[in-house]
Amino acid sequence: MDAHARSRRKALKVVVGALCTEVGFGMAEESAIETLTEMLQSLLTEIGKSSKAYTELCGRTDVLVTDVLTALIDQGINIESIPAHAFRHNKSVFNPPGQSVPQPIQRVLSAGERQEHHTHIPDHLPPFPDPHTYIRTESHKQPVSEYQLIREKAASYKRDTERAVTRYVAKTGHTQSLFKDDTSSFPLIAVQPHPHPYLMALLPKDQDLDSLDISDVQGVNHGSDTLDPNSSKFDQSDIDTIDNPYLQPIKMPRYKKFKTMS
Amino acid sequence: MEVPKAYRLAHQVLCIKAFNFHRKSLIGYVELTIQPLLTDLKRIKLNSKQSRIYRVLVNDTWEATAFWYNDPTLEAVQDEELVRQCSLDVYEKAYNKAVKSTNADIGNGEVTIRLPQECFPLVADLQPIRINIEFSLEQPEGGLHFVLPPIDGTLAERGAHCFTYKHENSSRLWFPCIDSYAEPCTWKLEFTCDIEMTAVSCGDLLEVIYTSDKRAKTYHYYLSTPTSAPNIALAVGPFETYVDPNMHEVTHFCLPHLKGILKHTASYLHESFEFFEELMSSRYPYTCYKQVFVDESYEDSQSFATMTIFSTSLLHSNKIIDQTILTRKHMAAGIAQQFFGCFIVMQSWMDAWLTQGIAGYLTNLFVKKTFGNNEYRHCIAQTLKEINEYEAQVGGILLDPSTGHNQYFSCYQPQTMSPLYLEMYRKKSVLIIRMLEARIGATLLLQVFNKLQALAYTASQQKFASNTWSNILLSTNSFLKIISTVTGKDIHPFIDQWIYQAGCARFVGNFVFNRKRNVVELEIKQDNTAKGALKYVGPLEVTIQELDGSFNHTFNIEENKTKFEITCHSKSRRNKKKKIPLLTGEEVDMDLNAMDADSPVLWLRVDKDMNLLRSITWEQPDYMWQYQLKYERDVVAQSEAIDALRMYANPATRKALTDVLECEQAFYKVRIEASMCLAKVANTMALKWAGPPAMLNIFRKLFGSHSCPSIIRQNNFSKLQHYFILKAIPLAMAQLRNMHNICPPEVVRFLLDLFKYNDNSKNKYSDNYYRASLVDALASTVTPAVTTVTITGQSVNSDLTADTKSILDEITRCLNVEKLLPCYRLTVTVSCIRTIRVLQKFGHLPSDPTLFRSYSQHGVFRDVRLVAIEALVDFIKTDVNVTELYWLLEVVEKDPDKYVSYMTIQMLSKNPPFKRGEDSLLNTEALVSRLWKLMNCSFSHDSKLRCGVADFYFAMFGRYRPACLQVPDSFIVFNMNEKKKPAMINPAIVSEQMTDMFDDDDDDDIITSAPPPSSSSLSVIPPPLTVPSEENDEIDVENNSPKKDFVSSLKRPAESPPLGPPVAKIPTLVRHDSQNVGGEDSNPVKLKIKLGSRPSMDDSTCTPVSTQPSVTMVTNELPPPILLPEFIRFSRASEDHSKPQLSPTKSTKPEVPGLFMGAGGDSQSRLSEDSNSSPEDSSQSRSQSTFPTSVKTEGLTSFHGLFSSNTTSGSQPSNTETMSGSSLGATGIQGSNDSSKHRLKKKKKKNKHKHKHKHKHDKSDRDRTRDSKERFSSTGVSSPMVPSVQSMTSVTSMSSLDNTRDSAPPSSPEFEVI
Repeated sequence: MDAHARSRRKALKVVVGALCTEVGFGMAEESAIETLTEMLQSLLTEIGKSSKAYTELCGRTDVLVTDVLTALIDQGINIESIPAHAFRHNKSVFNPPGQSVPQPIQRVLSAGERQEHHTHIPDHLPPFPDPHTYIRTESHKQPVSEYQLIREKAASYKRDTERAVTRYVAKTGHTQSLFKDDTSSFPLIAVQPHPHPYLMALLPKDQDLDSLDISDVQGVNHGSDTLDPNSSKFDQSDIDTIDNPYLQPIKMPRYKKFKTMS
Repeated sequence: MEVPKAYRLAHQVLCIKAFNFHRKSLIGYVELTIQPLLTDLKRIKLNSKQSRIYRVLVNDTWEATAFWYNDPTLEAVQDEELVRQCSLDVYEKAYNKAVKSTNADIGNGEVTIRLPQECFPLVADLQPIRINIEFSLEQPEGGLHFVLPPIDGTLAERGAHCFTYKHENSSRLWFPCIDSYAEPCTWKLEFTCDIEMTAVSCGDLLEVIYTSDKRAKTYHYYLSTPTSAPNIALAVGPFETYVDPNMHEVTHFCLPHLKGILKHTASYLHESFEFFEELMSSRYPYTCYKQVFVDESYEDSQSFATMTIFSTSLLHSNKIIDQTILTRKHMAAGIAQQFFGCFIVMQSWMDAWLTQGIAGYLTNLFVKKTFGNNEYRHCIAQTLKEINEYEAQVGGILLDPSTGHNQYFSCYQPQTMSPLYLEMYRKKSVLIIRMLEARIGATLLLQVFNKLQALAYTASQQKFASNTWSNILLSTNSFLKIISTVTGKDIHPFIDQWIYQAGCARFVGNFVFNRKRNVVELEIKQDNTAKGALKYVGPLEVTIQELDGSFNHTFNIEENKTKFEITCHSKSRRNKKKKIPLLTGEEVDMDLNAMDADSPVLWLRVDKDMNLLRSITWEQPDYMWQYQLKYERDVVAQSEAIDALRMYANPATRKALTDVLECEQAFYKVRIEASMCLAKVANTMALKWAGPPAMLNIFRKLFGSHSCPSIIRQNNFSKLQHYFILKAIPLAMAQLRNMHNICPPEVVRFLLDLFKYNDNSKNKYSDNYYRASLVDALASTVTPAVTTVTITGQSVNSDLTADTKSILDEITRCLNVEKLLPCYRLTVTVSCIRTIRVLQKFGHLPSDPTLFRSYSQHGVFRDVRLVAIEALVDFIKTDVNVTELYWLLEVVEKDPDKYVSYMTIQMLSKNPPFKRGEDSLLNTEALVSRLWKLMNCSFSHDSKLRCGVADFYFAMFGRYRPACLQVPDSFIVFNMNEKKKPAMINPAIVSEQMTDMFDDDDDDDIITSAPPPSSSSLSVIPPPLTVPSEENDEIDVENNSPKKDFVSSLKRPAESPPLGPPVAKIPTLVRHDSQNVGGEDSNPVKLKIKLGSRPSMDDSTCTPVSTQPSVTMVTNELPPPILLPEFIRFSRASEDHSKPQLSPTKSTKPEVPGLFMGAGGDSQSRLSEDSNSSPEDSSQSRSQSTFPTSVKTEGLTSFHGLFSSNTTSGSQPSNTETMSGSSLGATGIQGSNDSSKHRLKKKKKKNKHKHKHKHKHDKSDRDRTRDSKERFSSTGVSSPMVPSVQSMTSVTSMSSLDNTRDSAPPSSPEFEVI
């Protein structure tokens, strides 16, 4: 039994008690009152049920007085006596109980502003639910097509990679520092002498990474395709015809010379 | 002194039989075919430095037993007296004399060979004789450079190579020759090198032949065109060969892995060939041409007959822009020098301006054709300015110094000249030839060149006998003659004015417009007081731009005439709007509101075509300069206007500069200059400046991306002008300063954004130079820190401003990225290091040299090293750091890369730690003595470095005795006063008579003391107590010196005054020994040797001129006769003296410890005789002579006795050697063995003075190897080389020779003499 049912039952019990007092009882046992209350409740329930059944029988949803009357009659109640009963002298009157204010339901999850009713929707209709329950959004962002942002992004990406790599190398290898007592800030990768310093400087690597672009690579390929055959052809076929002493094979020592040596 | 030539050179063979890269040595022979011109020819003088000469054979049969070696340049100032003065003046005089005494141009040489009597008949018939000289070269310190990367692998894998280099005529450094441009001959060159190596040399490669064991091959070259020895070169290495596809006669060589970029670099070479051939319409004089790119090259490029040796860093790929321009100029210059400088050579040094100037002029014409007229004119203007500045600072450059000069060094020989001066000399001579072009016309001048080439070519095709080879020599006189035949013009006045006179004309001028007379009144004065000024007399062109057009007027500049007038054409003012015609014929609209309404003059220019060597200070109002900048079409005029506008900071100037900067038609260099000037102007206008920083908007307009101008576009350098401007504008903007005199923050942010948004991915060119210039720009934003940074080197991290921090961040990143992904020539690293130095200098970073040190070590790329050294030089100057200075001097002295050494000394002289007369902690005796040693002897094989050090010395101490030296003691003054003194004369050229007089002089010295002619500024009053002090000193000497010697040798340099020759640290052991021996009984012996040799001079006197060197030899070796009064000094000197001689032991010792020990007993005693004790002895002898009783003759006789005894005892061991030596001769090459031995023995008996020659030769040997040990030890030294030679050569004769030498002393002539 929920709270409402209990309070209704309580009200019925009071009603039964009042009626008993009217009729002349001074006191009653609890169980008797309880039984009477049970009977009254069954009656009222039955009346309600029947009324509803009659209403539906007529194809309506709204219960009319006639439906109730018929239901009363069905229960064998003399409806004519009701007015007299209602106007009896010794009827006891109760003050109606105060309305309890329903507790507002705390919304657990509120997302976004609830939408107001549109003008054509009557106010009594329930309000709109939370927007997230019915508005659909894409889960991924549209690619940014603004030039500035792209450049910005590319630039910072490049810098970050560079920084990360150099930091790593700096951490793992020898470093030099600009401050004597503070080696952590601005670490410089230590310079290493190289047996062929010129090779590093003349065959730079800095441009290779940048030109990873496919189009560029193709361009390069095209270039080399057109160039290579020529040059290789030249290298192979012309080598015999070119009269350059440095291309001549090395000669064997002359016998004469050999003899003098030995 | 004009001596008729006694002989001429017809042909020379140079054969290098083996190279040893590990020992850095080579062995071979030369054979000179000499045509006697006089029937009584007895002596031949050759040039040779460093080489060890084993044997001289004449006509393959007769051994020239009498030859001696004397190189006074090894130690320029030998007299202790003079050494003590440490005066540059003295040094330069002595050095000049020394160089002159071996100058091949005037028939001198280091090696004098007395022809054996057997060939006298041939000479009498004037038949050619062949002189064959076997020689070897070990660890050369000049002339030949070995690059030996320190890694594992075969030589070829390591990229080991060697090449020769020159500083003017210096081929003597690597093979015996007549080292003069005036002795051309034909050449046969043979080089045997490792199978994996290539030997590139001059002339046609005839064939390459395996040696019998097939482990080596021999390159045979023949050079049929007469060529002088200085133009002979050689490069050996594992080169990659690339035959030029356009011209098959041209071959390029580079080090392994570089062939790819070599192909690109060489791809445009044929254009220069075609250009020069067409230009002069004469054929390239040789049949082939070779380009060799080597590492650690001496200069960027050096030309030799048929080949040029370049620095490998001139190579570049097709992605590089900046280097392309430089490399093309270098390569074109290389070819131009083939025509003039290699093929046609100067007659003497006085004519050097011709060959150098013409080659440079031709190169400039190539520049004009390839890079455009603007580039050409701009370059000429720049050179002119450079020369003006140099001459104003240093004094005039005299192209032909035969009439005298005004420098602190001698200009008569290239070896004595400041290298910086030489560079300017070269540039000036180019301008002179260009002036000549203006004088006689370009076409005619080219015809002259054509004629020269044609004559020379015809001559070169003739045989030697035809005597026409002198036509390939070019002298001022022959040039004048040819000019007058070809053009009919007489250019004598021109030559007199510009060649025989130094300096530039310096004009100062202004003008006013006289409205009444409608004339412009000019005033043109010459500033004759300025340094390097030349009083100009002759025509001067003035160009006036009027409203009606441009007109040239020529005035005749005369003495005392300063006023000139130009009558204006237009009286009418700009009533009618008319276009204004320019000089070029164009007509332009101008807004004439800015100008004076009364004057029709827009601007005025003086000598617009730079037809004179001049500087012009020209005054005209700012609006005229603005007009000139905007409307004059000549880039030089624009540059001048920009220069002038620096002084006129106003909105109109700003407008004019901005216009030029934005003008796409303007020459890019002018635009760059405009941007720099704009920065200056903006800075002066900082207070009134409103809006964004100057040039920011221009930059955004030019380079910003379309949708977002604040972000730079992705790089695209296909428009080269834009590329250069892109590099320049950030640099200019970084120079902006706001009114607080700091760089505006928006500029810094702008620069950092440029870094951030730099994107080169779509660019077909490398952006390394651009990035470097951005780093440079960051550096120039730096201003001095407000709070000075801690002196203790504490971290100033917290003090760093945000800007500095971000700059540092950026630099750290760039520098680190460069380690992983190096860019071309590491340009970014170079700029970063420079920036770090700037940050240090301005107090943002603690001043600390360690970083620069690590970057300046050998093994780092050269450009980076140089910038690190530059930073160190700067550091030394600001922080007065002794250790760094000495470290740099170490680099100068010892660095394997000579170019770095030279640049270091040059940077030091440009930015010396202190200047003349300044007080500095560095200004110490120690520094003086260190530098003195460097220039006096350490650099005897590299005159360029030597003169570089002299420059540095000059910058700090001036010409005379450095002020930091203690006041010389009385005796010095005493001696300096002496005019008669031999001390004043360089021993190298002391005549025999003089040497004979030495003893007299000694006596004289005691009595007489005359005042010094030079350095009188130092004169100190001689104290009265001369005699007693002497005695005291003497005692001191005797007691102290041995003690001192036992004390650690390190102490000594500090104690001893900055005397003579440089001291290397000497192993103490050796010293002790020597000292011991010397101290005990050998003292007298030493004496004998030295002084005893003197009588031998008498002998040499009987043979004329040529004997001089021999005498000098002796005097060189032995301390020159010492004057009485200076015992103290002498004793000290003796120590010092011993040092240089001993010092080489250090270098040689590690190589031959065993041998050295073995030879120890003898050698050491010898050592002591020669080096250590002799001075003492001589001092003793002097002390004797102090007593009036001791007579000179007595001393002499006693010496004689000692001498003879010495020879016998000394020859004891040597005799055995002689045996072996002669046996070697028998087994070896020629058969002059036994007889020679006998002869030698006889000779020994007969003339003991021969001994002297022996000594001399010893000397030479020793000097060459820098080994001061006596004969025996020197044999020990020579032997270490032997195994190497053996291993290298399988030639049997060689090895047999080596073997004999291995067991016995080398077959050096001294033994044969005995």
